[in-house]
Amino acid sequence: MGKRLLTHNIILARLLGCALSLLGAFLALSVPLEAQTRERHFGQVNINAGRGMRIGVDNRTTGRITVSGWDRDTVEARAVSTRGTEVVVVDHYNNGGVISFDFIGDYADLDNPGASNVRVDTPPEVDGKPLKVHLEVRVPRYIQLKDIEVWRSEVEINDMDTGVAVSGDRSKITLRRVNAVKVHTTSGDVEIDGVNELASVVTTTGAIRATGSRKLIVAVSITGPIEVKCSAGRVDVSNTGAPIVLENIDGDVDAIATNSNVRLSSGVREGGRYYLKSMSGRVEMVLPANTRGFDAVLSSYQGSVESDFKLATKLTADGAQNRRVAGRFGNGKAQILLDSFEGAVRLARVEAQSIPTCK
Amino acid sequence: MKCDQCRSTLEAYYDGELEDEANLKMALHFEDCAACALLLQELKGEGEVYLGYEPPVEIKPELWAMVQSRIVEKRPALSTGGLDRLQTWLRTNLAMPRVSGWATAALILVAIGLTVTFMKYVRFEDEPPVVSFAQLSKHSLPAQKPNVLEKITEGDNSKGEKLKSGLKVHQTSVSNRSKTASRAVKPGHTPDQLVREAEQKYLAAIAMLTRTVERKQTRLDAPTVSRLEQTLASIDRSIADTRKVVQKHPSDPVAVQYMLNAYSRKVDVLREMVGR
Repeated sequence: MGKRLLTHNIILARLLGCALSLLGAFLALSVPLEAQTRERHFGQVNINAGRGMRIGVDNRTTGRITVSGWDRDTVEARAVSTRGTEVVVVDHYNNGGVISFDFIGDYADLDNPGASNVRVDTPPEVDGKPLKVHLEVRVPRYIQLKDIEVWRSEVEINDMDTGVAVSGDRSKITLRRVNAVKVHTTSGDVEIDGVNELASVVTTTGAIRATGSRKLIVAVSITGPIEVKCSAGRVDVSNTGAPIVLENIDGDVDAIATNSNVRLSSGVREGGRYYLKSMSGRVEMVLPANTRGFDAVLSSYQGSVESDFKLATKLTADGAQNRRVAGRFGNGKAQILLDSFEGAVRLARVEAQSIPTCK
Repeated sequence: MKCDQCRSTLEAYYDGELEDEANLKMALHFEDCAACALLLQELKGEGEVYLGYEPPVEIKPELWAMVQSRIVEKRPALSTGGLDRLQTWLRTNLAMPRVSGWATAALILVAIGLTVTFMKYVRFEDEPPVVSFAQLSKHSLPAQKPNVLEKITEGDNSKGEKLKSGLKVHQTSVSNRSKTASRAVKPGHTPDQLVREAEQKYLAAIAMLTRTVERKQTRLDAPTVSRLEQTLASIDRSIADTRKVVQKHPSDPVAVQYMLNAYSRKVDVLREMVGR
């Protein structure tokens, strides 16, 4: 009897322990992480960095945010405007041993330049708009950047060995030599250059321009033109109402448009696959004359189908509708599929030097 | 009275719509101002031209008699006494003799155009009614009929010979097919407009291809038709699902892309069938 009661109490105690643990975890997660310390610095601020540290960047109203990776183990930040030096607010967090800092560009009280700890209540204005405060931050390349969320502030990030995620509305986003990127804007243009790993860019109306990517590029837009040049990796792009222009792509290509044209100017790789498609736009692939070979299927339901290459034709449907040409040129070791429903489809041949080379 | 004031009320004066005092002022002004008096004379001249206008084509009584006899031939059953009286009453009380037949036709066309435009605008907001065309089998509607689209409700399985969801197309596509097919993309369109336009293009293409597939129905064997039905039903589910997401997030490029890809797949399948 006593033994059974003891067992019963042990079970109850364990259940109570579990419940308390769950409650603690719930409270820990539900309570927002407050800044442990906040400091305001007039002029430049330097902080020693370490691996595992996370850095956030922002500004109080608007202005350009620039983050550059360098080979020092320190973080250096300063804020400037057309008035001169402004204030950098530094929030320091320690979340279970994970150290992070947020750097926020803010306005200095120019009447009391020494009193940087005084917050200016009303942002100064220029032409009825808040004065832009530009935040410039230098960080070790290995530093993990927190996701950057801006409204209309321009964001420029250079030379980072880590991934970067930026979300903006009207902001122009420029990312150069970053390991991986994930960007989303509404109307802001996005420019990426030299991304090592995955580059994923989505805009509603903003233009997307990507050069020198080494791995996969995924770009989606509704009305923003997409231009990808000199990509060593696969390109997967789609657009609803603006053109897709691709140049010198070493990897496979999937480019799909609805109301717009698709054009690829590039040599083909043996084993490569190139799929260009549009609903109502023109689809064109421009190949150098020294192309060694490919298998091609060119089709258009209502438009014309043309090939400058003499294909060893396997199939031709040349009616008033549903035109289709399938054939082989040379060694046939690449696959080309060009298709449009309403638009013209063309496989063009140009002299090799007509296609611009990559630097 | 100044000339500007006079000219602004000239037509009202000519039509006799002014008060006595204003009339008098105008008349006095015409005595002093030759330019305004000339304008009044021109207006009177125009009025006489209109009043003296007669149609250049003389319609002879024989022609009317012939038209009348044709009408009687076409409606023998309706020429009963009571209906005749009703028609006579309607003709005399509701007829608008000043409106020509061409004007009436033009008004009707404008009204239809406005209604179609309005419905097209409203339709995108709601789930579009789904239509299907009749069974691919030879027992369906006559092959020579160019438009065999028939409206059914979602999930209506009562008509055994109809394809279920496999060959559904949105009704909006039919009415707007020719319009959207030739419309070029205009710069400055909002994303929503572009997406709507893109969707309309796909719908128009699907409607057109569906009709072509239907015309080829006799050449398709039963297993092929069955596979086609299953494939298209699956794609239709994708379209419906992605469309719901786009309705919630109309400016989300990824959602839009998924939806348009689903439409594109349907076009591809139908084109494949057309090519067989």
